[in-house]
Amino acid sequence: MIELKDVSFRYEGAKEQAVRHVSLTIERGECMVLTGLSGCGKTTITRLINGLIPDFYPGELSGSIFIDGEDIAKKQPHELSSMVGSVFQNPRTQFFNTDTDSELVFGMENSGVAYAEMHRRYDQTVRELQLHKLCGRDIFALSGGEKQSIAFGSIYALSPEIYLLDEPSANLDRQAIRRLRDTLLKLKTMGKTILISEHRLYYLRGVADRAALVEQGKITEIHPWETLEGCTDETLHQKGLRSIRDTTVELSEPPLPAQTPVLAIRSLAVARKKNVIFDHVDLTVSEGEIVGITEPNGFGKTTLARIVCGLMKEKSGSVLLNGVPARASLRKRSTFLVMQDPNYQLFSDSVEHELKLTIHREAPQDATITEVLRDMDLEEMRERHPLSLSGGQKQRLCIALAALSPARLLIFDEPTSGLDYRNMQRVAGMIHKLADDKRAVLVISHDNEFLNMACTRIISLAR
Amino acid sequence: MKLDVRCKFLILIAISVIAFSTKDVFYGSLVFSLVCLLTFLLGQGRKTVKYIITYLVLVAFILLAKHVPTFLRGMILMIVLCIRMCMPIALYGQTFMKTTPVSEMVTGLYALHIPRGFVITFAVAMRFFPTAKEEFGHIRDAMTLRGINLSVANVLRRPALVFEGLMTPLLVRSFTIAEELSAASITRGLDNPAPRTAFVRLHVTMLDIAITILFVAALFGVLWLRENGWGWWVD
Repeated sequence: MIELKDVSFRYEGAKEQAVRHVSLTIERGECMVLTGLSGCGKTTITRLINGLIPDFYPGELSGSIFIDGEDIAKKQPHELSSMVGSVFQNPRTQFFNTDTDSELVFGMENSGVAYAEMHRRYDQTVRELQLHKLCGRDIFALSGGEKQSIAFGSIYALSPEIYLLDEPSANLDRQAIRRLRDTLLKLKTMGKTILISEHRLYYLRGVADRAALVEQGKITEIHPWETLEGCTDETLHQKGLRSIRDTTVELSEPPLPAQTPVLAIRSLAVARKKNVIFDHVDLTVSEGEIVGITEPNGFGKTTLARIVCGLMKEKSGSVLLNGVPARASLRKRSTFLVMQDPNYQLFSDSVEHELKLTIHREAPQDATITEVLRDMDLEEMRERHPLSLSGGQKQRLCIALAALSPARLLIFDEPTSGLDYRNMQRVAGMIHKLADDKRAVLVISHDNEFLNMACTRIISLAR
Repeated sequence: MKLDVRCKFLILIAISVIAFSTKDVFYGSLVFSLVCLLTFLLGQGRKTVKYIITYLVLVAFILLAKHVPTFLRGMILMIVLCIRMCMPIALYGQTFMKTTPVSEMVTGLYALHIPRGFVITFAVAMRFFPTAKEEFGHIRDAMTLRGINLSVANVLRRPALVFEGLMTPLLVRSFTIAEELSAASITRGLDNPAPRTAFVRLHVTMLDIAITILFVAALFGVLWLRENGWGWWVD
């Protein structure tokens, strides 16, 4: 169905090739996973197949790509759009319309599907993917998982033979990932060909037929999924891969605090415009502790983080820092939040200036900065522009900001979205260091593998 | 009441033209009343009432202006005039947005033979506002966390830093969003040159046409009256 023959590609302006001499054949009805470290070239391979390369991402391309026996070099991107459906990593940036119905039919409208047929396929898509609840809604009001479902639906309505997914689970919670898995299984029974580039592997168990390891632009290994089943987690981790088994977390009660906890929340309730987001929340975090919070979808995890940081006010209940009731304005100054997307938090012109930028206190000493940069594995990046760093490096820079802040309470909101195993391990190690440095850490994540790795205690606030 | 999207566009143009040609209080109010009637019929009663109250407050300002010193009067009247002239357009514009999904607007624009490039730009612009709001929220959070919250004190004391904190993430995010959005649209055939079809079918009823003609005629009637007599009413 898909065949790549000795394909190499170098992005315009890049020094090195993103993929080098890649040959790959995917049979009709097969589900193939591409995995490997961040920046290994797996996303580039998907872009080669949906035609975004070389039309949208120009560069130097050699070799040839066949879909259903036809060379796609002769095809326009819109001709490919009816054969290959693409779902991307970020649910927030892959919809074009403001309401869900328009988005579901967007692809069909563009390709000129007739009125009656369009309505038939719309109804079919809604029925088969169970999107009833999402019809006629404002897309901006949907959760990440719901947005992803709509993106899927809009592709499904076009009924392409090939589905390309680029890290589809990166911004999803566990429940949404389960839905994604169900959809993939359905596509498989329909005989569709699926290619997924992904870090998280556990949800692809029973879905994927083969897995390919991509390293530095090359496909180094291809195995049937059964071979992976025979590997221990250690073998996978050594290659920088995440576990193929789903991990569960064990919830535990807080130990009796030996001293005053850094953070204590008592029967907290939060509402937005009269809608109660959550209430009766109690939580304590002591010095040296790393508390992971895992919640089902829609609990308002990010809201909790914003409350603790003083970015939002509570409706009732109290938040105590070091035993003293703290209003939002005080919480703003005594906590630090590492946001899910580091791009919001970086704005200086070099890594060093970024770390020296302080308002309410003196800038840290050069020696301290050197030490923190060494801890975060960013020593060589000192003079670099923060925005020229890779995703993982940007995130580590944000963690460095947290390390240098005087805040005793640090909060991490979904620190693993889009991270490969190696980066995930690194982040976990850094969080441990921060906790050892007399701080309390709160980690909000739905990634069980990471929670187990990073946290000293995991709790659930929902009842 | 429902109105065909093309009629709505036509009325929008008529209101924009007329509202700016009727500056005086009397004729301006007449235009505003007509627009209120229409938006009320379109089911935006609450919004209409809010606008009417604001309008009355503005008129009260005009009356009060007689009792303030001359140098202030000119300024107040100027500001009131600007707001007053924009109000019919704003009220109708908001009603238009509230009662018409973007997809219907897009279909309407295609039906009016507006070039594709323009329609796509329009659709993206519609998507831009909620996106900008979302992004701005995140950026404000991030700035607050670093102690450079958007307060008057910070803007006055460290304008460069506040500007940097606001603009850098805004530009970076805009670039990313633009790129990802374009990629997603292209893979869904946005650049397909074949004639586009539509999910919503537009129906112009005789009633739509009648209402539109009546309303546009009434608007131009106000303009005509203003030019040809009745002038003694206002002084």
